[in-house]
Amino acid sequence: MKRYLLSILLAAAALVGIGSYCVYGAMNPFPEFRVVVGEGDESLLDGAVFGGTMVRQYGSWKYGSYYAEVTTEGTEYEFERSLFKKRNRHPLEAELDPDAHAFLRGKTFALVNFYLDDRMIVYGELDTMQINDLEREVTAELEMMDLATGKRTAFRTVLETGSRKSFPYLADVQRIGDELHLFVEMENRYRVYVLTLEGELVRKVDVGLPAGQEEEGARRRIGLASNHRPHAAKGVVGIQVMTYGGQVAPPSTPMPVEFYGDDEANFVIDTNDDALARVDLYVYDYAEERVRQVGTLIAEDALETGRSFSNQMTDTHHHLVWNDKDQLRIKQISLADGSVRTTAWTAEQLGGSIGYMTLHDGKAYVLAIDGNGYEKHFTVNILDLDSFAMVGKAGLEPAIRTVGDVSETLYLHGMVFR
Amino acid sequence: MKALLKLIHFEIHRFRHILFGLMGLTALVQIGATVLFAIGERVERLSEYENQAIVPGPVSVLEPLANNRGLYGFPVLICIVTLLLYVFLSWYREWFGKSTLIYRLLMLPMPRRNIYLAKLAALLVFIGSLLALQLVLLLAIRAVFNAIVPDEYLVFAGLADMINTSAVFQILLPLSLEFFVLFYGMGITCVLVLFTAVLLERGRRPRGTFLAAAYVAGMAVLLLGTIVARASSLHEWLNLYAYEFTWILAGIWMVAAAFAVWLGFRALNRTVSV
Repeated sequence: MKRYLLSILLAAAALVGIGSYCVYGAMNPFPEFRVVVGEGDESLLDGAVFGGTMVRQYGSWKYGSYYAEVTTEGTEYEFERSLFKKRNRHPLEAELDPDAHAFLRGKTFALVNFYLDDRMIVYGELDTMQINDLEREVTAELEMMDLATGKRTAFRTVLETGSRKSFPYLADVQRIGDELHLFVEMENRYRVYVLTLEGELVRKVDVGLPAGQEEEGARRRIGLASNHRPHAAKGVVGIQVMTYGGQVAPPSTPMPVEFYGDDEANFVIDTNDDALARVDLYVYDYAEERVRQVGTLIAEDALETGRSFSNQMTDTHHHLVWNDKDQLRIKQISLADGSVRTTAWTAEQLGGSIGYMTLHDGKAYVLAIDGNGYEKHFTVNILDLDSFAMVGKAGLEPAIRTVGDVSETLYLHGMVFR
Repeated sequence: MKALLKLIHFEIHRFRHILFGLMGLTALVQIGATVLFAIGERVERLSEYENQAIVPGPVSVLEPLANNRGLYGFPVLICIVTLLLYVFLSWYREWFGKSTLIYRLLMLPMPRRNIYLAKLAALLVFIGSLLALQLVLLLAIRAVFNAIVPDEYLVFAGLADMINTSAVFQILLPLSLEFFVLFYGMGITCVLVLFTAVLLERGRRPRGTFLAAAYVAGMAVLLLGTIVARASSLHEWLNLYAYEFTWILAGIWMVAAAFAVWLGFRALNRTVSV
């Protein structure tokens, strides 16, 4: 036995060393944070994942920095993120029976490609193919599933053939009665393709906007409003016409939308010098198959004339949201009568300076950061866009963990919904 | 089993001088560097304190570790390269050593696979013992640093923070058990492939060289291909979720390891001769 002492000692050292290390790792020497809902319903944070960095600090001296994601369940550090576990849930899984989850396999997470009601789920994709030297073909590939029977149908329909059919973008899919409507942005135009449920192209509808008369120096930029539930059944698609610089006359005669046309003179270029002057909101009505103007917002101060704002359309209103670190402002246009309402929240009301803001499902999630120096406290404010009400508040627990003279703080950067 | 254990001991015993040399080198460089840096920190702080010119700041062992990654990582890289050479050396010296030991090994009254398994087990013991030493050394480095630097300037650093200072430590000692198994599982698979390649070469000389080269090239394409595939979005094209794809790729590595062992045993039993 003595003869084998060397091998026994080395093997034992290896086993004990690695074993102890694995136990040390399993004990997780890192602080566990959790997002805790203080006010409101915990379901407001379903699927919310906050990204942050856990920093150890001794007085003012910071050391040890680890990226982590925190939810209402707990903390997951980057180094412990498993490659073998399902990480990203498709956003529609929560709304579908488990039996129907297979429909989502291999499909994009972008909800604008889906339509879901209590009868069926539809998924659409656009594709462009060169069919000969001169022509391209834009096709729609659609897949539908009857939610009651689980029966799936798929078809491919040619939408356009021509020389310059490029970069089509599917912005919305809707079922109106026994027809499928595909709202498509292509060649700087919006067009709706109406198909039967069997995939036969019935008609094309050009989406036209009143042209407006631009003052010299004014530039227009047109974009679609983001919807709070892009996959849900809805009657309209929002279209925002942003005017930068100059004073703009009211809209006049209708003409098709062509916002990045062939003509160089019509080519829209936004420059940083241009300030946002106004936003005209239009909606395309699927039932009426025409565009109508809803209302106009005039930018009033430096916060609003800045180029950056977020927007989200709910079933009843369209919202534009601006923020800097000191304030949050929401302007709301009623889809029914075009009336405008405004609300504003100061950093003080929100519990600290605004570090991050995102819109999700008709709500604004505002991350406020309080505290000076190295002790930060984070508050997640949840505001309902339609009612302007504060519907929830959440915070980190613990705010800071202290071990001896060392404090461990999770600095939150932002959030996503998974 | 007894024969296998004896063979493992035989392999370990033969490598002991090199192993202890590597351990000594690692300990000497890492502890020596820590002593020097700690003395430097101590002198700097005490002289600042005496002069009252600048208020001395706190310091932890993370500072020398993070600022001198190359120095602390150097002996570790020497160990890795040596063990990599040992993968080949452990086989070829049986043929090209002072006495052609392979003749006696192949004639031993036991299954020939024991030779393969003993060399593999010995290598695992070397890797494990060097890792254990590195863990002990990290704790020793911290103890030495903390002993030299005056208490009033000292910040305590955790083992995880120390490992986080360098990519070499992060790969060698991942904090997650999953990554530990993953990294070392991949490493062992590569060793098995190289073992088998050596046996293919030894078994069918001279054309065995081409056979071994083709086998290694094929496995390299397959195994590196899995890493590239994981980093790409191939899983989307295959309508798979990323985690499902990871399981499939892990399965490919396991099959590659099993195939290497089977092929190695087969070569050892059927074609390898003195």
